[in-house]
Amino acid sequence: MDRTLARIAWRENRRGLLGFAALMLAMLVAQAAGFAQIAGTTAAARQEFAHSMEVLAKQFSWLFPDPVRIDTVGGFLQWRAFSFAAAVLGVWAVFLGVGAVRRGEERGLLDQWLGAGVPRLRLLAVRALAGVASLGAVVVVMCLAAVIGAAAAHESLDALGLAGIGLSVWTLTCACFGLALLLSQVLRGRRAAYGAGAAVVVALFLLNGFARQIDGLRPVRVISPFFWYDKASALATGATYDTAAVVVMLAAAAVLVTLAGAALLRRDTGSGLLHPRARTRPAVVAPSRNPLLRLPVPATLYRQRWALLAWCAGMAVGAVFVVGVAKPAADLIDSTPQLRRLLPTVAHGVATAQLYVGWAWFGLAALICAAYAVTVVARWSSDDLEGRLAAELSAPVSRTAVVVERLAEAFAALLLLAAVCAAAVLLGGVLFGVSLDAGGVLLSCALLVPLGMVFAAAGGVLTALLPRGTVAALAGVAVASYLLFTLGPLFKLPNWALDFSVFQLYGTPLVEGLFVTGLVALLVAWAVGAAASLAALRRREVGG
Amino acid sequence: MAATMTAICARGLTKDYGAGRGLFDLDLDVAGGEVFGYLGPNGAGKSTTIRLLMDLARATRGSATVFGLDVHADSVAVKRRTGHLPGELPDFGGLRGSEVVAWMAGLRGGVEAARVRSLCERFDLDLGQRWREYSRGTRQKLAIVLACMHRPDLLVLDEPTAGLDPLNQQAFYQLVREESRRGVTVFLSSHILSEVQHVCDRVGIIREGRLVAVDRLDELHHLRVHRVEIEFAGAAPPLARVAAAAGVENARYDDGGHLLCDVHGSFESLLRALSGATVVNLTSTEPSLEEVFLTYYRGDGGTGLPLAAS
Repeated sequence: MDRTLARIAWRENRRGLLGFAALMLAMLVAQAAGFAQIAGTTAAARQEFAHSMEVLAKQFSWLFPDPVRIDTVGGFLQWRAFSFAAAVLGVWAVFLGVGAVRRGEERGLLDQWLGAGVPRLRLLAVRALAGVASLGAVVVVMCLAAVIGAAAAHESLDALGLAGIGLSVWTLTCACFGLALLLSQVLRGRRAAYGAGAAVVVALFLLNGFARQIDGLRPVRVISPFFWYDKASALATGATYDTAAVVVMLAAAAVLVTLAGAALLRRDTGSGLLHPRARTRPAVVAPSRNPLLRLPVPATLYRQRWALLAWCAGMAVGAVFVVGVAKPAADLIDSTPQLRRLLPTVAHGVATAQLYVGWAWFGLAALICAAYAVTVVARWSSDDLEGRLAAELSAPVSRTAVVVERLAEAFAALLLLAAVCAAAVLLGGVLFGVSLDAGGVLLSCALLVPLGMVFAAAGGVLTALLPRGTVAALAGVAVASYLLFTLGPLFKLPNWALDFSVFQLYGTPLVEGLFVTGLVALLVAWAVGAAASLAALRRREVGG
Repeated sequence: MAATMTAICARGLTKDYGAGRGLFDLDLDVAGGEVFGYLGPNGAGKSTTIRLLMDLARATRGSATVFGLDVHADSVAVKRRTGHLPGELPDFGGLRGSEVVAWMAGLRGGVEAARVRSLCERFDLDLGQRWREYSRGTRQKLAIVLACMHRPDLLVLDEPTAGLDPLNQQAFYQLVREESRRGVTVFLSSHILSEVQHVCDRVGIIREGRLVAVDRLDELHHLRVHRVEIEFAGAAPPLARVAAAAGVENARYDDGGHLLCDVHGSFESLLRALSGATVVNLTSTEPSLEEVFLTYYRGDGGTGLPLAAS
């Protein structure tokens, strides 16, 4: 029985496991192998590189801790790869934790298993073990990738340090997993638990980051598993490894999983530990009067209003924050000779603060728009798999109309995100006294729309051809595209190869102006994707 | 207009999924205003037929029309006049019933709030709850409302009473009768014979993707097999002679010397085969529709019925 349950749980996790393992493999190998390309090969060059990076890293200390011995491959990987990977895997752990019991429950499988005599606690334990084993497998791949990459660059990594940081990442993700598992038992629906879990993990991540800059937050940062992770990441030579921090994270994970078990024992299946009592009210027998629901595109936007609001809020907060730190960042860059020397080749005559916003913020904003497009496509895919597309097509709606409405919906949402981004950047500029070219900001924001639409159109094709694998495939394309954009130059890839990256086609409009060829390529890719989406949906079968 | 012309016409309609699965060479006419029952067990091809009519699946060959409109080329026009209740209900997640109705009404157009209200009251359906909070039966009730709310000329219903309690089943049958009186054509797939007996004018039986019988409900009943038991005084006729008689199947003697057999159609051949024997008792049992239905789906029988002209 346990083996069957474990096999089912493992099977449910395998797509995510393969995807994240591939992502980590690519990222770690590229980062490790590319270290010498970035940092140089002589001690002097590496010292200079380390100094520059330490200056830059101070601007990102709200995200990641200050680097240690970044002149070594270990220090570089610890700061650039493992910190990022820990955050990404923390979010994946939330999805694994919420889905561990809830995914099967929403398909009626939990009732089946319990009806077959599986004790609740055993069920939860087996699925929790499968979850943390999946996380562990990805961490092992990550560590092996670091070794392979370093070996390819004729660098060496401290085996003990690597094992230690791997253990640290794994325990961090276990804590995130436990937190999500608990939330999934307390809250009623899977989506609510996903939202709450992701929000709590991001909040804990930011709490730890902001506590590095705001003294008042330091006493409470102990509740963040990322704080303990920082204390137990020591791949860099000379970094200290706090074994107690690992124990704290493991203990936290154990306590959270135990509490989740207690909640599962007490709650009804199909419900959460917390659920509102039904209230008496007169029966409703009339359709909703909300006019938005009667119009195709507004109806879809209305259905995703809270998610869209969250994306807009995230975009606005991120934009204001990055613009807010642009001025001190620019001062620091201008006062650092090593970085100042680089400015003539990258600044294209714009002020350093604008250069910083152009690179730091709009690079991230492009990634946010791509990620948003992936979530839009994920909803199309679930519309298909959950019968809503068939319901829509049972109404007098043509398949062409469905594709057009979907793309119009994505366009409208991306336009909204771009508008929020523009408003937030310009507002941030006014608030923090950062002089920004308004035309350049508007152009940069406007170009986010075709960038997102390329992913949406590609997702439309994938949804029609491969509904179950759409999200993984599109997310893989987006990540590969981003890695090509960020790491391609390190490996001195030719421009034509970099142009395969959608992010490369977007360029850095706030710094370099409009990249006409890139825009044309984006528009062509969008048009081709839309036409292919239409052709694919017209030919295929729906539902069944 | 709907009641005077052929509502559904399929010619050689085929959907071949391979390995013998799908729907093969369906020729079918359903008259306007008719309530047509489409009977078959799970996997027989009922839902495939409906998905082809609704243009959700693409035919391998053949064609189908609804009110003279091609179901593929004119699918939007077809669906404008059709109400569809799918076998697999969609998942509307956190939307309230009232929002689902408003959304689908927006896609359809021409939905009157009074009609929605009337349907909801008939099925005692509260649209104030969220879809995910609805029970299976309540979801089915909402699906019925969605299929009927725009007063379509054709209702295509895939196992419409699944999950409904007996009271709501009766309410549904009443609705179908009323719609039929209004001239609405109803194409109702089911594997529940009593459901078909309640409301249908004609029945089509589908087996392994092939339509094996179409007839009026009462005629189908008479065309069916009779189970016969005969007791003889003295010598019984040779089994081979009885078994060779036209329309006789499964002939055998039981331990008490009674002849048991199934007779399709006329008894004349059997009676000729019995000539010379003294019959002291003959019992002919007309099987229930349920048994007839099973006869069609048993591997060892059910080949004797002709496909009646529609």
